[in-house]
Amino acid sequence: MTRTVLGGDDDAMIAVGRMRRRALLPVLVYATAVTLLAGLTFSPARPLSPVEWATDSVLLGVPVVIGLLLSWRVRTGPVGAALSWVGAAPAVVFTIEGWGETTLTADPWPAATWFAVVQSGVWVWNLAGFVSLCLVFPDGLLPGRRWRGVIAFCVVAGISVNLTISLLQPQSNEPGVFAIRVPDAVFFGLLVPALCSVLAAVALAVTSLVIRYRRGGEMLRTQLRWLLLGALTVPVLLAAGWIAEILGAPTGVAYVGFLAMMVLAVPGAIAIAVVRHDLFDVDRLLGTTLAWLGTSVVSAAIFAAVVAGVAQIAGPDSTAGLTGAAFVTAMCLLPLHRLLNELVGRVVDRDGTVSRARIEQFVRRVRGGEAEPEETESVLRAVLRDEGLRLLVRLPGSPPGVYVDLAGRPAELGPPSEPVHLAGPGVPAPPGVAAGPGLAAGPGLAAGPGLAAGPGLAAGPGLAAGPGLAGQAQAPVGAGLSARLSGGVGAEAVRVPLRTGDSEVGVIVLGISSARRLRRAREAALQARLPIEVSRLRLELRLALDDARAGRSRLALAGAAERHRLARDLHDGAQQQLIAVGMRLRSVQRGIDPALTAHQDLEAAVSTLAATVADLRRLAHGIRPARLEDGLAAALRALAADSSVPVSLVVPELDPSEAVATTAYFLVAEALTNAMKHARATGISVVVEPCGPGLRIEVTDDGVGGTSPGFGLTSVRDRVTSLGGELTVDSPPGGGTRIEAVI
Amino acid sequence: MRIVLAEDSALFREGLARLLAEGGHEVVAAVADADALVAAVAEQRPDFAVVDVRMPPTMTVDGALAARRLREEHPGLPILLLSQHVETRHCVPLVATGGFGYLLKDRVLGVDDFLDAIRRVAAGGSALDPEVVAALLASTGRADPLAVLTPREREVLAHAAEGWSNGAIAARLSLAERTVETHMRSVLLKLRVPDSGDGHRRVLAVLTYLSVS
Repeated sequence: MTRTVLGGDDDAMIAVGRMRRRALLPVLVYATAVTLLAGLTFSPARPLSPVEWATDSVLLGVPVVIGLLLSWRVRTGPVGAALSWVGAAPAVVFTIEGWGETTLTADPWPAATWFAVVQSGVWVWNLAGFVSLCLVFPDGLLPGRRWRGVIAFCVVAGISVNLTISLLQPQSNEPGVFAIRVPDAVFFGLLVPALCSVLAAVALAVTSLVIRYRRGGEMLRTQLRWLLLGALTVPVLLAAGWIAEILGAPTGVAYVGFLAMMVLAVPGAIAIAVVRHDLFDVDRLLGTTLAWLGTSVVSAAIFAAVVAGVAQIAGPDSTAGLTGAAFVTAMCLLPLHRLLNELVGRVVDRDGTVSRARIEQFVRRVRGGEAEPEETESVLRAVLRDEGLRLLVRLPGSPPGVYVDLAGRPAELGPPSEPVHLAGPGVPAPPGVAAGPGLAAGPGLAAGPGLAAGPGLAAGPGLAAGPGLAGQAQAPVGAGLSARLSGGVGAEAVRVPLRTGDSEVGVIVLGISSARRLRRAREAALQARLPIEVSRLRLELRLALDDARAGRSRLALAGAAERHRLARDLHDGAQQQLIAVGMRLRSVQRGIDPALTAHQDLEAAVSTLAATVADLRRLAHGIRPARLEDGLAAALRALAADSSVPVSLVVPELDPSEAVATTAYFLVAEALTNAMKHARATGISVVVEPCGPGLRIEVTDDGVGGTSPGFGLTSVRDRVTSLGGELTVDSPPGGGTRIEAVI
Repeated sequence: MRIVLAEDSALFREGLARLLAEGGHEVVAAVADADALVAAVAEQRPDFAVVDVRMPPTMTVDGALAARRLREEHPGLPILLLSQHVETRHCVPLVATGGFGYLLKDRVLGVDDFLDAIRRVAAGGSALDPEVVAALLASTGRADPLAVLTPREREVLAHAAEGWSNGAIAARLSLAERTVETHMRSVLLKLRVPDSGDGHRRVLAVLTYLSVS
């Protein structure tokens, strides 16, 4: 059994033993009481009918059995026992009352007189189980040390009511079986404070829940909400009972639902709260229930008011009232429900409502252009209160399981795990859990909670500890459910896949995993669908653009390298060979009489060769300035020295890449040429400085300005932009020209 | 003179060897890379070395680097660097020491000027290509130190830097030799270079001043 898994050490075993004793006591008491009640039912005294006995026994048995199972399977201290007492205490009360009533028959039971004395005030103990449950739910601990005093106070309040009613009797009443007759003033003077203290005890017990709720974490709140949801059915069915009674149903029948729910819904809710508080979205369930309840009541009131109002005016027989009322109610129904849903949501499901509103607001701001869709991740983090949350996307063409974050950085993720499908078809319906048999029949289901209630429970990711244990310790019956809940919830974080059509476009990785978080994250992902999709597309676009830029830059670099090679080939190949040929010609020439025509022909040939070599050098220089061999700074100084206009040159010794150096050289050369040719400048300033991984070049002149962006600057601009740089020309007419490039 | 020739292009090497032989020199070794050059010089102890700047093994400035090494190992050996284009980076220290020349390769087509340049370098003078001089003057890294000179003075200085004597400059610029001397004094005064009296040293000093300091 799970026990062996949970109770690893002796202390735990002792604790388990104590827990069993504590859980067994109410069961034994209940069994004894039911047996005695059976005896009373079938004795000649017959204070109860067999049907009543059977009904009471079964109904009261439900909390007892659920309480027993809870304390058997889950280490939540006295919660199970307290729940058992919710059924066991009334059983005892009924027994004492029945026993006492035998005094009125011809065949009283032994000591019936004493029971008769006690029974008149014993009803107060019906509340004992409920009060103790409130005090210890859901974690088995009192809200604080001082609350021990509250327990004592509750006991004293119960005893005082019981004693006052049992022992004393006001003189105004008919004499009872046994009573000390006291003046009315004395009796009520004692009874009223006693009753008030009982009320106070109940109020304190409820207050303890409120205190816990306010102090408690997310899980505890969820558990308390389950209790609230269960308890909510009680007044609803009570109201239903009243209505049924007014409509003419017999009292016994009218309140069956109420009674049944009181002993079924509350224990059921508690069982779910302790065992599987995460199973369903209690907040939403509760919110929806409350909202519809409110809507029904208010629309019924509207209906009634309109009917009554019309009847006043048009007479009681008019059908206008009904028609009008139906019309008005129908008109009100939806807006009313929406309003109530919103209001209730704010109270009951505060987190959910607030986070929905925040995401909606974010989406609106993205639409309005006030927020960047890339902020989605931080918004989700804030809304889900999960600092470890990550929003990752898949890029088109990337293999499955490869993600990047919204900045385009690759994200490290473990092997893909099966995402959790809480809303999947395999999860059993709630009644199976709430009704008890499910618990009794499904060891797997019970084993799961056993794990969840272990040390991991308080830590939040209690589920996370599950898979391994659940896999080993479970009987096959419940395996489906537990495996489904814990599947993929390993040591690694839980992922919520984001899909468009059939393809997965991204994933939300949760830092904190619980079924509740997962649910919230799903909702949030759906809501934030637009910004997520937009940011993904923008990322794709950006990466594609980067790719294109990188490609262009690579092309430019390759081009520069190719020009370098070409220039070198010209230098080292063609030119050298021409010169070699020239030398041969010279050699021949020297052996010939200078007076011969051949000598002059050779002279002319060598001159042509020399001119060709010079041409080739100029050509190679245009492809790649040979001056760059000495570095960019030297090449620029040479350019400045060539200039007919004074050039002030500021250039540090730099060693930029071939492509950058060539581009910078041509840029300055072109700018100087323009300044000399067109600008009629009297001074030119050239400033070159390192800028990030590249260069910033600024050429200014004091010429006439008004340069149209044409001339050689177009090719220079192409060179600059092909390296991912930028060229700006600022040339107001009459104001000189300023050319700035960042390469 | 006994000359060691280092040039990787076989065609050019052969042509140059022949040209030097016809000029009355003896080419004792013609090698194709920088390492072989150093070895050949150590072995042959030549009177002169003609070295291509771009050579194996790296095909960058191995010749220039080898020249610097030769200058350290054989301080008296005159060296003439040949290059396809101007690369002054590794030449500056050599320029200042004299017995050094740096010409573009196409200068060899002007055979007589070329052989004359070899003679000047062998005599401890210098022979710099006009383009090399321009590059050296341009790469001073200062706001044009030559701005103080008149155009004519610049012209005279450039020719002097190429290694020509005052007489040769006068002939080339069609001036009287006395005028050249005046210009030269003015240049040295304006550039604050002390006149040592020796023509080549003087020019080298100017170049050194301009390119190194």
